[in-house]
Amino acid sequence: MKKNNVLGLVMGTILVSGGVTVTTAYAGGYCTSSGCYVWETAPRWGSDGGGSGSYDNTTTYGPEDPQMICADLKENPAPNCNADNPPQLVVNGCGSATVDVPDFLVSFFKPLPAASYGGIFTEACNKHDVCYGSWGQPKSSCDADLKNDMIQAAKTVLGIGYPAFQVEVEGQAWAYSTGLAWGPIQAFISQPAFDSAQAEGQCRSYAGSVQYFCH
Amino acid sequence: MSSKVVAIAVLSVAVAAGIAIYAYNRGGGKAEQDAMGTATRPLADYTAAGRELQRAAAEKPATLPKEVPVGSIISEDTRNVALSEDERAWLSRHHYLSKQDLDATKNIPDATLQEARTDARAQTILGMRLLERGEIIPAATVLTNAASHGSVYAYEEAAVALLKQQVENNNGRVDPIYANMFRARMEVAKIMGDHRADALFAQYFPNYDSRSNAQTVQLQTTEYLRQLGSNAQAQGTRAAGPDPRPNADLWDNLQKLNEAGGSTDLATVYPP
Repeated sequence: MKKNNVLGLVMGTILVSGGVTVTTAYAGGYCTSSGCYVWETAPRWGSDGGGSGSYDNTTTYGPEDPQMICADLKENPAPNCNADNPPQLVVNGCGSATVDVPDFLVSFFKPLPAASYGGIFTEACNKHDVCYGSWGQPKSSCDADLKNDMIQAAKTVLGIGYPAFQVEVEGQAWAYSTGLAWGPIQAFISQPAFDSAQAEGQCRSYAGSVQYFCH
Repeated sequence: MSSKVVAIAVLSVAVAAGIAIYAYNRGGGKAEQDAMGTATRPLADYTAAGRELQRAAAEKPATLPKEVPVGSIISEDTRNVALSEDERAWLSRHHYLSKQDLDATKNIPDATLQEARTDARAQTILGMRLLERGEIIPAATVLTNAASHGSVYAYEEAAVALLKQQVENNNGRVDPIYANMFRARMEVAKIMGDHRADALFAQYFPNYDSRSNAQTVQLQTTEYLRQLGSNAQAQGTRAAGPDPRPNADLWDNLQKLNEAGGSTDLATVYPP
């Protein structure tokens, strides 16, 4: 099972156990103290398995009256969340709006050839941004995927040059991912950053649910 | 990610110091010398591989324009279809590869393509090979690099591959986040020149409400463009700029003609 389907599976299972036709697949969802609601704002991937198909417009949700769900959502809003204007997710590679963190390979003694490989970590970091901002994702798997993706991308791009930079690649992948789980960093910087991204993700999920069930 | 970067900055200093000492003590091997000596070279510099590409191009039979029903044009992937000689040249310039093109280059080893890092065609071929092997993030990295050097096709293929991966990881459902990211990538493809990117997007999201996510898509588009430029900048090369694909109006008319019941009317296409 894919790690990032855990929330969907949990939420889907709750509904399936209640005799509902909803499967574990979902486009979004939100849980209140009364239960979890799965919704779809985007149609299902085509029946050809996702090859070249478009989407059909299958729409399913729980057996409850949408108005009841809406009322429950309104009574149990996501903390500090403006559902009319939820924070948006914009992936930005390895850096942030305020600090530049290199998307390219950094080498102390071989800076020029290292940088000349270009932004080899950009796509891995973009994916990591999405992972952090998706409500319900485990932090550890986001970080582990980042490390693996960075190393795989570097191996592919550097080719025969990889052994020369292996130490730098693995060091940088460690710093960007596993290093974030290091005690003091985890406690004071990394975990709060993850929590903040998750709170934004939760707000997006809540806003999407309100949008779906209340309009 | 603002707090994360502080962590990364702190860690980077420590890691860089460790790496530096380790690398200095270890000294340079042959692989290191290879890496140092192959900064950025086009594929043509690798004589054998360059010859292979030229041979593949020369062996390609000359094709003449032909008449095709409008309906069959519109129902296929219109990105790879040219309605004029200039549009065919544009497709070639931006490395829209057919299966035959990829087959013709299968003798070029991956390693040679990897070394030709600023050659858009080589990187597009390599990226397509990686996609076929299911290595999505490495493929997206290589294809995005190809896009930095002028392959609009590579950028579109990377966008589609990333979307499909996300959807597959989500049990066949798409999260609005991914739809917005895909929309932004298509905006980049349009800015780079391909007006057919809209058709590609509509193939996956026919009912997308662009107004409700306009700000997010605009910010994401800007960021993706920055990433493309930054990649070329790091490699010491000029980033590819906009190069509008010909026949935007003609394609619109074809679309309207098809919708108005003219699908059996004939139009001239220029095969690759």
